[in-house]
Formats: sequence, C-alpha cells, structure tokens
Amino acid sequence: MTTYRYKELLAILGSLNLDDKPATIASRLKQWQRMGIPEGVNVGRGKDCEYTEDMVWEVLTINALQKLGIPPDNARRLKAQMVWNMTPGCIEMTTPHGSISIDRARILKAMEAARHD
Amino acid sequence: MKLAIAPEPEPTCTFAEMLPLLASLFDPEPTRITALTGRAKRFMTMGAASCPGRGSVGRYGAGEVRRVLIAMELHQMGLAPEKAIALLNEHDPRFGGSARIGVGSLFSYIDIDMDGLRMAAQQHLPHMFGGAS
Repeated sequence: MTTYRYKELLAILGSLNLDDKPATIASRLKQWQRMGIPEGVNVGRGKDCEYTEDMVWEVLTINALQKLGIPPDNARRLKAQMVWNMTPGCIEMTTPHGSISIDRARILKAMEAARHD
Repeated sequence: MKLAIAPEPEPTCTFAEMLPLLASLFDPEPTRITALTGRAKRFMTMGAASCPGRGSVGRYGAGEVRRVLIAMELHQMGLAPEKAIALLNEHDPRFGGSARIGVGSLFSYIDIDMDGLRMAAQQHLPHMFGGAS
C-alpha cells in the first residue's frame, strides 16, 4: 500500500495552494491534525505518521472545500454525510439546488509529482 | 402642457410573504420555521438585503429576494455566512445567467441551480418573478 510522509503531503498541498506560504500550509495541517483530520493521524508521541492514500484524499478534500470557504467542521460533515460521485476527472457532490465539484485529475497529478520528488 | 408619466413602482414583498418560499427551499419542517427566520434575517443584516430598521415593515425587491436565496443556498452547501455574502457581492449572480459560481480556487467549483431557484420564486411570488430577473 502506498503511503506518504508528512513532507510529501506538505509538497502536495503546496503545489495545489500556490497562493499560500509554506508556513501557512503547515500551520493549517497542524490545526487539522488537532481536529483529528485525517482520521488516524494522531499516532502518539515519537512516531511518524504514515499517511495512507485515503488519509491524503481526506486532507485534500478538506483543503479543496476550505478553499471554497467551507470551514473544516462543515467540510468533514459534508464529506461524511453527502454522496460524492467519483469520475476519473472529478469528484462531485450534488445538493437539491447545486453542486460542489473538485478537480480530481489535478489533485492526482499533484500526488504523483510529490512521489517522484 | 406635458404630462409626466410616473414610472411603475418595482413589485416588492414583505418578509412574511417571502418566508413560504424560503421554507419550501431550505426547511420544509414547520417546527423549525423560527430557526429559518433567524437565519434569513441574519443574512439580510449581513448585506443580502437592505434592512428598514425597527418599527417599519421592510419591503424587498426581486433583486434582494434573489440575493437572500443564493446566500442561503451557499450556506446550505456548507459555506460560512460571511463567505456566502462575500461571494454574492463578488459575482452578483442572476437568474437566467450563468449557474456556475467559480470560487477562488483552481481545483474546486460551486454550481448553483439558478433555474431551480427561479422556478420556486415564480411559484411563490408570481407578481415579482413573472419573467426572468
């Protein structure tokens, strides 16, 4: 199973959030970690967390929703309660009067680039 | 002698007239109407519509009703109220125009079904939304 290290996750977030400083992204990630995002991140002291693909996707989805102005708590609720349709290029959630879509292809590209750095 | 023809006043509605429309779109449970009222009024004071102040009945035009609907729809999607109002001010989406509200991100978008909102508005407030606004 492919896992990612903290630095790789930071690199992915950095390549997606070009308008944010690296320190800002790191603090945001730390704040999410305090909130238990992604699930299973708090492994205890003295151990490095190995991020699984699912964990990375959780972080990246929360990040994409936060970019739209959706706070992390709401984002986590939306992610858990709503049905997300996944296509090769896009992840989409529909509500009765609208939809939120995330460019999956772009995120996959960023993940791939981080693996090869 | 010239006769001046006064322009026809824009049709308006009160908050009470707007409430069934909001309830049909955002909260069909009659027991939670107080919460819905509070939420809608909060959006209005934040800038979705003009507030008349205390002691007078507010009357809202089609543009203001539209702004309240869109702000509440964005909030329904999980956006923080401040962000919903900021987006509204930035894009000023209209019925019949583009349904997509692209938000400051390269990889995520919000789409709003403006036709759905317009049809609901036409159904509940036909005197204001007879045509596209």
